[in-house]
Amino acid sequence: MRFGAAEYGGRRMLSLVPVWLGVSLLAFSLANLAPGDPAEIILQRQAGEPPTAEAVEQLRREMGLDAPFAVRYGRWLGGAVRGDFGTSYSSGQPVFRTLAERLPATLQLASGALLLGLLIAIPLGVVAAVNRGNAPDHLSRLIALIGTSTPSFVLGYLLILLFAVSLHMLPVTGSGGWRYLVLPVMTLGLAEAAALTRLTRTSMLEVLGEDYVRTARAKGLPRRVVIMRHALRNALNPVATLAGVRFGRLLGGAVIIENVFARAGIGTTIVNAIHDRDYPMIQGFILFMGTVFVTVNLLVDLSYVWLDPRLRLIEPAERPSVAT
Amino acid sequence: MLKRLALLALAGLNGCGSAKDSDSRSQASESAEKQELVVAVGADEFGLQLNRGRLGRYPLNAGLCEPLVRMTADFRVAPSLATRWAYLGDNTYRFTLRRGVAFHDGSSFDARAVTYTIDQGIREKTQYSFLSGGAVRVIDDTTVDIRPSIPNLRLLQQLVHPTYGIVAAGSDPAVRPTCTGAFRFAEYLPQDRLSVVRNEGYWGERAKLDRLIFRFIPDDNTRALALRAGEVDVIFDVNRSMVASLEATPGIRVATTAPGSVMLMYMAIHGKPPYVRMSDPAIRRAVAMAIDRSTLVDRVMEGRSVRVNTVNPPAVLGNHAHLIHGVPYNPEAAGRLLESRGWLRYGDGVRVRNGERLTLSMITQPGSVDRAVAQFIQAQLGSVGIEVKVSELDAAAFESRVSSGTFDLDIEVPSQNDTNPAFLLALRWYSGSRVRSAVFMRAGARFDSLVAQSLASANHDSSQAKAAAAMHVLVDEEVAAIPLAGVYRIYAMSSRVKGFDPHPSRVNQAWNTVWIAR
Repeated sequence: MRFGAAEYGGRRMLSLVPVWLGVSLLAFSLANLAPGDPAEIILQRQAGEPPTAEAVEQLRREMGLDAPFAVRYGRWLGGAVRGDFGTSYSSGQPVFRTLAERLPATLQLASGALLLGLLIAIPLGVVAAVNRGNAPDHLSRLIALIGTSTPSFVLGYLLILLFAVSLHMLPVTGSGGWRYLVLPVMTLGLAEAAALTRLTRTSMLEVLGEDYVRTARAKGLPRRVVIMRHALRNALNPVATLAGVRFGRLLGGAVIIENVFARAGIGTTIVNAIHDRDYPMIQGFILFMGTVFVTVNLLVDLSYVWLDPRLRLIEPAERPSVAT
Repeated sequence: MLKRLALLALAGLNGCGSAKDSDSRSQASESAEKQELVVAVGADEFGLQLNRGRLGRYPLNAGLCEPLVRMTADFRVAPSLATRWAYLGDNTYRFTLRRGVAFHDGSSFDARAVTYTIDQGIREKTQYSFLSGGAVRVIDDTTVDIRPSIPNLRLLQQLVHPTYGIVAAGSDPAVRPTCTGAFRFAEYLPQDRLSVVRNEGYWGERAKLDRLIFRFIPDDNTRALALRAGEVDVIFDVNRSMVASLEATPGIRVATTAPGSVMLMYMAIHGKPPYVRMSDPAIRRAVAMAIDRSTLVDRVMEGRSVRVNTVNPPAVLGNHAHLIHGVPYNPEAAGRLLESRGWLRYGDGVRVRNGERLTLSMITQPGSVDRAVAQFIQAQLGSVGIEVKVSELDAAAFESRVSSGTFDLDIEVPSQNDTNPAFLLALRWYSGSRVRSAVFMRAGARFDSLVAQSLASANHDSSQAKAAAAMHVLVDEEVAAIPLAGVYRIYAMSSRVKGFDPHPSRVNQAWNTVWIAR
């Protein structure tokens, strides 16, 4: 019996509701438990000097911060389910609008980095696996080791030094065209490539030892066909899983690179929000990222069905899934 | 083959344009003729709601707007849009406005604009000079009286702050600042840039630059790399650790100013329990004697600061800065002083009295105070038997600790952006201060009396003298604060940039004299 992706997707979507509620409570608690008072920060910045106690109390009342935790959570959650994440304390702009404005820049960066990572990792991992123990394998592992152990901001500075300062080929900062994206994407993408290369290699080695690969070889199929059609496609399942997880991390964790390359993305926005104790923005971001994570994981789960035809014959409940 | 492919790829990338043809320098030929300066500054702070109405004025002053009076590099008041002023008594200042000045939209500058600007600041709560509705009284088109809501004879010195830059009546400075400055607004792209162009109808010395672009680059290293790559011409707030390498780079020069701020150690004299150690004057003095400020300046800050004894930049006190001596470095005397109070050294070197260790909690913000400074002070105090626990906090957590009095020592670097000699004294240690943290730092009746006299003096020299006397009580007698180092601004720029006259107060930096040599 074959099970449709729609039915499977529907079931998975329903299971996300409690996850989403948990994330919302966590987001609200984390933002509100951090030391520091947003009213005080706003007033301090306004006047350039520490505020009076009366002014702080008045602003807290105006911002609704004097209400009990549960009341504030209820108010916020009520708005969030209607798509209203509140208004940023710092900018005075709706949180949803700010996230929507900032997301494209980060999305470009994360997608580009993941794509670059996959473009490097898959061929490199395959070459390493089929040449296990030989020079290409050692080289790929060395590259992966360097990529994993080099902090992304260091790599960013090195790339700027090479391509912008020395060669004058690419701009250091800015936005507007693909040229501004090259260095940040390279910086993040090379780190991604390192992690994905190792996994591709391991996964390929596992699959190359399977009976069906041996059978394909025994049938006299060309080596390229055995590797590309029989081995690689099956080896990509764990790579897809990791890529999905890392994409979510890239969206939320691109902040260092956004800062280095002065890109106005979502990472920079959220770090500023944390410094400002901009509760609505922090809560909105965590909830948004939680939603992105579970959605990406859902898509990855669905991609298994496409990558591995055998899964189409298994009951949805028994299919492997990315933990959410 | 691979090599050829790589070369082709590099050539392809290069062919798509060099770093210099970014938006800010879009056409090389045009750039060759036009005077266009790109300045890299830190993060964009105009996205904050409270700063929106001060676009191009504060915290980044793009030369769009001018206040009634301006601050010179030696912290004096000079005419700007007001040519004369006088104190009339009864807490009121009269300003005579400059004639023949036009706003960027061609309308005339007059008393109505002053009223509009001050009222707008009051509505947006962005001003701190005790001004409230009705503070400005129009006498005629070129004369206004300004009267704060409570006695404030330092109003004139406060009005130099760029936040008081005058905007055209009826204009919306949050969208398009319409002012009288040497530059007029061109474009603001949040988080990216603020561009201004020369105001051809400027009443004063016309700007030499055609266009001035401020690029928002939050990362210190990236700003320096952008300068080295030729993508920007000037960078603000150069990290001290980068100065040597920038100075060694051909085609780049570094400019510094007189101290515009002082790195200070605040003490919670009246801190909330258990933060009560600093209530003992002997411990305060011992702390001050244990810190070798010369080594701090010369070694830790790599000679890129100066030794000062005042809590403000010394120039703010005019000829009276010499009244403050500072506590001399003498660790042996510090040790003896502590021993005389019963604090004795045991096993691990930390002093103990009645079973209690002499441990102090010091808070800092890594963004404004180098970690090396905190570590140096920790080591210095450790050498006399005072254990220091350092907490590096972000701005919100730091403010929370300061305003609740839950610390012993706190290091900050407050900027002096106006010419009021009692500004910081009245804010942080004066019992009349309304700020929350002042209650934990009050420096006593004599100090209060002197600060009050400084604030109430209509004569600036007398105000400076009283402020200096109050500072002497604060630093030398009560030891309620320790001036650690005078901090100056550091700018780096292409050697083609000429006419740049660095101002110790960054928000008062002028740009109309700057030009680019071909």
